Amino acid sequence: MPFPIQFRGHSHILGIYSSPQRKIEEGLEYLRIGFEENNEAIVMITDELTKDEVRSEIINKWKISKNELEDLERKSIINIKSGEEIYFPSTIIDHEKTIKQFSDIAYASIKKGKKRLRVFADTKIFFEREHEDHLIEYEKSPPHLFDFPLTGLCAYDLDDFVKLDHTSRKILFDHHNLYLTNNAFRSIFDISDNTSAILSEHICMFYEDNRLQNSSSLSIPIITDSILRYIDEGLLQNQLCVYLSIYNMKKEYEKNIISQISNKDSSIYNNFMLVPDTDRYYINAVCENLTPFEDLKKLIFAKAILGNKKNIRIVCDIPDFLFKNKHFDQSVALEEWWNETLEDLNKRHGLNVSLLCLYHSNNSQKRPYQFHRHRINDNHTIICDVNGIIQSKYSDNDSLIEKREKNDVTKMKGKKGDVVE
Amino acid sequence: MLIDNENNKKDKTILLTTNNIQHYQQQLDDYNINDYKISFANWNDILTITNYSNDENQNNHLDPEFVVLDISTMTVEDTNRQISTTILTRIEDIKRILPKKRMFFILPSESMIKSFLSMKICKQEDIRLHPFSVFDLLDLISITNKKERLQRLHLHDHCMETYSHSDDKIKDAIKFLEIGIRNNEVTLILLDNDINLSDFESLIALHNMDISKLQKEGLLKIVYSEDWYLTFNQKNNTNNTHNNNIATIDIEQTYKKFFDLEDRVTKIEGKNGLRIFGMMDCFFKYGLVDEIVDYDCIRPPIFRKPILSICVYSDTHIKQLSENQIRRLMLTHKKVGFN
Repeated sequence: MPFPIQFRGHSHILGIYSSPQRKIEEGLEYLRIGFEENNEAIVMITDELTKDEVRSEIINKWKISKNELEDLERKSIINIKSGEEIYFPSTIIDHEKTIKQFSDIAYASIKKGKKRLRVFADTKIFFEREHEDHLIEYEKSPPHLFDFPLTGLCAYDLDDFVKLDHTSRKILFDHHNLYLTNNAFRSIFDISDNTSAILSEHICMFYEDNRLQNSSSLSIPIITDSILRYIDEGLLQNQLCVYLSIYNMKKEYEKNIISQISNKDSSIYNNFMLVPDTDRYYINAVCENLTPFEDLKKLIFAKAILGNKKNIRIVCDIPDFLFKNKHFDQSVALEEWWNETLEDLNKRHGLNVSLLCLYHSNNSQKRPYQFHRHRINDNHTIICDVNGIIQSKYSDNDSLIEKREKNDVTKMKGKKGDVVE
Repeated sequence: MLIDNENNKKDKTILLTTNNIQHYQQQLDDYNINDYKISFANWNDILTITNYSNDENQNNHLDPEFVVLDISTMTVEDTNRQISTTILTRIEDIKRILPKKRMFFILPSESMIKSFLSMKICKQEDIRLHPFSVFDLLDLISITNKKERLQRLHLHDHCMETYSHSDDKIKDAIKFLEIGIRNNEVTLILLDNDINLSDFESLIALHNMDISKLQKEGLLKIVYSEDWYLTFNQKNNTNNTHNNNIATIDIEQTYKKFFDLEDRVTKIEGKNGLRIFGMMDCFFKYGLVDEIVDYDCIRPPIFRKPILSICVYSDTHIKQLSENQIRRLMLTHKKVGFN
């Protein structure tokens, strides 16, 4: 299960972020869940915000007052630290000493009734001080040193991560048991095939259905440029592309969609698979019978083996139709089934299957859709808009750092005595 | 005249009554729908057709899986969107001729729903609005095939339901009990304080269930939620409870009570599992809003033990929760009846 619900028990997570804003937002949410929902003590390590800014965010968004926060900090249940304090307290860098700090906080908090310690560790300071080698050594620390109740997220800025050589990156992937790469890209189309973890994403693309409200237009299939591009890119890389749309019920639809694909060499007929009889998929999914999907999984697997295909792209809009018609549990059950299927095909069978699920966003702000949308978001590793631009999974997109930058600009303008707009 | 959209033989028929046959026929001609044949009838002809088709001695026997009546293509009596008596009579006639057939209605606009429902022609879930597409038809096929919601919940599921009216809660609690009896599972009903116990028991008895027998056999337990979940410093003192937090919940003890009961009914009494219909109003009555969310969210969406639990919330209380609390509840439950 994707972020943040998956983090139970001991996890060492690698997070890569396209922007400092996303890094801090996700970091604070990661810690909030640990503190509020899992009874964990927490440590926030970053230099992106001042300690007071972190405190202010915690007071605003968590269920604690200023006094309570002060008390929790005194008791070392909530710990806000700079990178320097934790990693560079003296001129000698000592990884074991750093880890011991965490174990001391963890055991002290357990005595105070907490389950474990949750740490969000922003690694930026290592890059700023050109100590990447120390960072890699630190990440490589033997597992027995971390043998205490700890769960941690090591946060990397994408700009820093790409500076690391291939060996260092491999070490990072090898020494973390979960990867959060969904924040590493601005768009699903930035995703290259350089990192194998990225090829197996479960993507949720929201689009707005602007068709006129009349029955004849409602039956016109929606094929956005992004879907075509997603399929096109797959075909161009000689991947197997599977198209499972409710609109496949439409007669001669295959011809229609093929006519819109730009890469139309002869391989398209081998690599493009339009799944027929999608009415049966929908009806069975409503009745909680996923047998047609199980059969499809076997078919895709057989086609991949026979065609010697390792990389597969699937586009599916059946969960959206379930969602739209308020079959929420069935929509979630299907997404959960896809998660298990992707995991099985990718991990057990060594394939790289990515799945793009389309959801129309027209109802997403209305009750009860807005609430069930949390369940849908939670079952995807990436949420993006119709252009493929990756969105936050959380509703509050107001960036802390952007806010601070705006405030700083306002203050500066004020100081200079210029007209403040 | 009865018109079929397909010449080839399909097992099941749907009867669509509309004054705009051509429109629907054109749309349906563009799509492949497996297993179902759509038969069209004009409102003016429908009675003749159904009368004729209902005669089983006739070769052309019409036995639709369900019927769709497109009101949106009929004329309405006035601008207030009142259903005309002609339409009403026609619907009654069709219902008489095709008894036991599920009927769906396509209304011209949302404004008509209220008056339509007030005439008790159908339930809300059987209403669709114009425009009606082939995908709406597909959805009707699927919902006529699916099991009723409470039938779809199984042991190990941690579920959540919300209700606007207490009556609906009570009806579902009784249905939940009926299913439990069939499955040899013990049903624990945790009642809201505003539900009178003897009234509730009378309602159960009306469904041909012998409460004393069920309780004797250990298949039914009814307790007030307040007594099950909450501990009071000063029992029955509800003054200033919101501020003083006189009522509290011991989360671990409460879950232990459930698990001990499950152990007893499965290991000693030989039942297949424990099903719980837990009404949650008492938490809100005593201002334990954060507490109920924390309590509910401590358990995963799937129980390892043979327990089926429905956490029953009132709509008014859901409105008191923050977005984040609702998110937590949505992610905690395997199945969520929040429509």
